[in-house]
Amino acid sequence: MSSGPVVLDPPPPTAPPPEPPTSRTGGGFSIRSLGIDRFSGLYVWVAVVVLFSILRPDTFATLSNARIVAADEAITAVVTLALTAALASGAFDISIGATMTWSIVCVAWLQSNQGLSPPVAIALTLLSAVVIGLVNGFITVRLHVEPIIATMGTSAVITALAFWRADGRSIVTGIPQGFKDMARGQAAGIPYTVLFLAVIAGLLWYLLGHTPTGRFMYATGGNEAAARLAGIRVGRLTFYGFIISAVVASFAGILLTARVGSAGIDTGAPYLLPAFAGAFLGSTQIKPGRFNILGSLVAVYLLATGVKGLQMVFPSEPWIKDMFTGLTLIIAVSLAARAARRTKE
Amino acid sequence: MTAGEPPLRLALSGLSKTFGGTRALREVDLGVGAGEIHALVGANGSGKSTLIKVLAGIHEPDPGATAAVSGEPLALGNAAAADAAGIRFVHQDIGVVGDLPALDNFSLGRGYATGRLGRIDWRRQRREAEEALGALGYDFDVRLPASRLGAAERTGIAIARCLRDWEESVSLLVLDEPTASLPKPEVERLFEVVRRVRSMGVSVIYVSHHLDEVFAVADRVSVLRDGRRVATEAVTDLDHDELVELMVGAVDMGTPTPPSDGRGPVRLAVTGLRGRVVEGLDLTVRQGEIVGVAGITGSGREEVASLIFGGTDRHGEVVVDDRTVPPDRPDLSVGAGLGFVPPDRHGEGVVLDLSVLENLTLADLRPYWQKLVFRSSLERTDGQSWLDRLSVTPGRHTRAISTLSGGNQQKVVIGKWLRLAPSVLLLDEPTQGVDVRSKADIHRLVEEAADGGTAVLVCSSDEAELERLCDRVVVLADGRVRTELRPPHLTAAHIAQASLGGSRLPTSAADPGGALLEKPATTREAAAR
Repeated sequence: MSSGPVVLDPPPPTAPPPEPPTSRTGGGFSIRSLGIDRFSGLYVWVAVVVLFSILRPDTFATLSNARIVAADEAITAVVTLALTAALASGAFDISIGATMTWSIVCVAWLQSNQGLSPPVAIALTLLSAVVIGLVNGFITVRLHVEPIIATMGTSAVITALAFWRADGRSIVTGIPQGFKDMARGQAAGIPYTVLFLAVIAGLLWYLLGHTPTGRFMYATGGNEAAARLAGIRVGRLTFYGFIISAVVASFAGILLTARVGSAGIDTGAPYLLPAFAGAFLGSTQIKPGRFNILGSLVAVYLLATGVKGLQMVFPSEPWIKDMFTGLTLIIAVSLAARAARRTKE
Repeated sequence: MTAGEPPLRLALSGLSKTFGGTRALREVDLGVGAGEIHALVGANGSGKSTLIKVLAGIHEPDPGATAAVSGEPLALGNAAAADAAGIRFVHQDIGVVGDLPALDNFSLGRGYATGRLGRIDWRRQRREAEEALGALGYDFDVRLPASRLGAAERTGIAIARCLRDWEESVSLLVLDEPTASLPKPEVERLFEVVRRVRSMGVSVIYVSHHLDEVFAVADRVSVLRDGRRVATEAVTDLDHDELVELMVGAVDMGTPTPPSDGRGPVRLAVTGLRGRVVEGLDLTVRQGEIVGVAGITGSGREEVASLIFGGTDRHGEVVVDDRTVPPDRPDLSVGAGLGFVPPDRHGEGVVLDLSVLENLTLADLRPYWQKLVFRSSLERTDGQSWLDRLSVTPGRHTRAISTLSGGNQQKVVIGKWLRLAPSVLLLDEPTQGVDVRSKADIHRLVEEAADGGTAVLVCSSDEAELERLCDRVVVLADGRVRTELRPPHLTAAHIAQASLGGSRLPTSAADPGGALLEKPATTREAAAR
C-alpha cells in the first residue's frame, strides 16, 4: 500500500474491522483480496474533517457550514446516484449533465412562460426525461451504438434543445415562490434537499441491492453476453438504466432550479465530472467492485468536504475544485482497476 | 535417409516434452525433405500442437533433443533461432486485421519500404506486396481492406507476409490448421498457393484435422499418436482408412446392436437446424438420455448447442416438451426449460464481477422474491446447499466468482441450470481447461441430472469424455450427421475414427440406411494422381 494515493489510504487503524459474517445481499466480497478497506472513505472523511477543522476552525467547523455543504451537495449526490444506477447496468450515460441542463430550462420555462403550476411543471419535466432515457436506450440497444458515443451525441442535442427553448437567455422571473421553497426550507434542521436525497437514495438502494431487477442490472453491466445467456433480457435492463439516470438527473435539475431560483444556461454540465468521480470512487467503497448507492453517497460527501475545505484554505484559487475532482476521478478509476486485476486471476 | 542424399530441410530427433507428469511428446524423430509438403496429423492430444510450439520456440523441449535445418544445427525452444533459420509460421488465427488494407496487413510486423525521412514509400511497398501475392497466384487490389477479401485471400496475405524475402531466408513454412476457417471452395485455392510455395523451393509442414486435405495436397504424411511418431509415409502409399487407423489405432468394429429406443418421452426435438456450418440437422433427446455430439473443428459441432439454445439466430425448429422455442430469445429458451453451458466460460458463462451466489442464482430469482421483499437469507441457505451439492471449493457463497479456479467456476455455471431442474441441458465443451478433479465432479453432476429426467446434449472435442458420459454419440462432418455411435462402438477410438472420416463404420439402425456414410472417393482419386 506504500504507493497508494494519500487521499484514499486509511489512517492506520489499530485493528482492521473484520468482515461481517454475512452481508445483507450476499453480494459481499473477500475484502482483503481487494487491498482497499471498504470503509476507508469514511476514515478519510473523518480525517479530512479533522484536518480542515484545525486549519479553519472559525469557518469550516461550524454547523451552518455543514448544513450548506449538505444542502448544496445533495444535488450533486442525486446526480451521482442517477449515474450510479446507470453504470450498474452498463449504461455509460454521459448525457446526465445535458439532461439536467434541459430540465432546469424546462421546469422554469413551463412555469414562467406557460404559467403552469409547480407540480404540473415538475411532472412534465420528468416525463420529458423519460423520453430522453428512451431515446438513449433506443440508440444503444436497437441501433447498437456504444453507450458513451450515443450519449455524447444526445448530450449535444439535448443541450441544443435547452438553448433553443430558453432563447439563449437565463430565465430569472416568473418562478413561483412555492417552487423555490421546495429546495430552500428545512425540517428539524435538515435541509429539504437532503430529505429528497434520502428518499431517492433509499429507493435506488432498494432497487439495486434488494430486488431481482437490481441484480439483473448488475449482471448486465458486468457481462452482457453471460447475462443474456442466463435468460436475462439485457436490452430491457439497459433501457431501465438509461431511464432511471435521466429521470433522477432531471430531478436534480429541478431541485437546482428551485434552490437557485432561476434557470441559468448550461448549468447542468458542471455536474458531470463530480458525478463520475463520485460514482467511480464510490465503487471502491462499502461494496467494493460494483457501483453502489451507499458507496456513492460516501464518495460524494468525501469529495465535497475536501473541495469545501480546500476552497476555504485557498479562497483565491477557483481552479482548485476541478483539479481536485479530476485527480480523484483518475485515482478512483485506477484503484478500481487495480482491485479488479487482483481478483481476476 | 541414406548418406549421400542432400541434407533434410528439417531434421528433428529424440524430441520429448514433458508437462508436469505427462509426456506430450516421446522421442519423436521427424524429417522434412527439401521442397516437400509434409502433413502432420494426429487425434486430439496426440502432441501435434506441442511439436509445433517447440519448433516455434514457445516451449522448451526436454534435454536430449536435436534439430537441424539444412544440416545446420538449430537450438530448439528459441523463437529467434527458429526465425533466423528461416522457419515461418502461419497459425490458426492468422493475424490479419480486417479494417486495414491488404497492403498494410502485408507490411505488419515486417515493416514498410521507406523513403527519405522515414516516409513510407507507398509505390514501392505496393509493388512489393503485389509481387509477393502474385508469386502465390493472387491478383487482387491490395488497397482493399482485408475484411472485404475472401478467407483464402486473407490466409494468402498471411502466407505472403511470411514468405517475404523467401529467396534469401525462408526455408520452411508451417501452416497450422490453415483451413479451419475456410469455406469449402476456398480450400482448393489455398492448395494452389501451398503448391506454389513448394515450387519456390520452400518446404511446408501442413497440420490439419482434415484428412481429405492431406491426400489432396501433401507429398508425405507423419502420424503422431500419444506423443509418438507412429508412421511417416508417402500419401500415395496409404488410403484414407489406413491413415485413420494409424491415428487412432486398430479398432474392432464388431456387430452393431440395435438401439434401445423408447426409454422415455422425447424432451428435445430438433428438426432442420441450420446455422453457419450446420446444415439441416435433425436430433432428438429423450428424458434421462445423454447424447453426445462429436466432430472435428469446423464440422458444426462447435455451434450446435448455441444454435439449439437460441443464443444466435438460426433456422429450423426446436421443440422442448412439445413447446416450440423461438430463435434468438434466450429468455424464452430458459422459460421453456432449456439450459446452456457455453464453451467460453469467462466470456459467456460467468459474470466475474458478481459473487459465487449471485452467479448461481442468476437464472431465476423468483423463489426469493416474495411480496416486494428479497429474501436474502432464503437465497443464501438455498445457494449454500447447492454449493455443497456441486462440490464447489472453497464453498463460501460470498466470494467473488473470479477468485475460484476454472473448474469450480464451471461447476457454478452448471449448477445455475441444475437448480432449475431443466427439461434439456445443453453443454458445449463442459470440461475444457478444467482440472481432473472438477472434471470428475462435472461428469457426476451431468449424470445425476440425466437420472433426474433431464435430457442432456454434450458437444465435446474430448472423445474420452463422450465415451464416459454418453448413451449415444452423433458424429458431425461438414455440418451434417456423418454417423451415430452406440455401445459397443461408443469408444473414444471409434468416435475419433468416425470424426476423421474413417469409412469402416458400423451402420446403426438409427441412421436411416447409412446414407451418411460416404466414402471419401474424391480424395482417393486426388491421392492417386
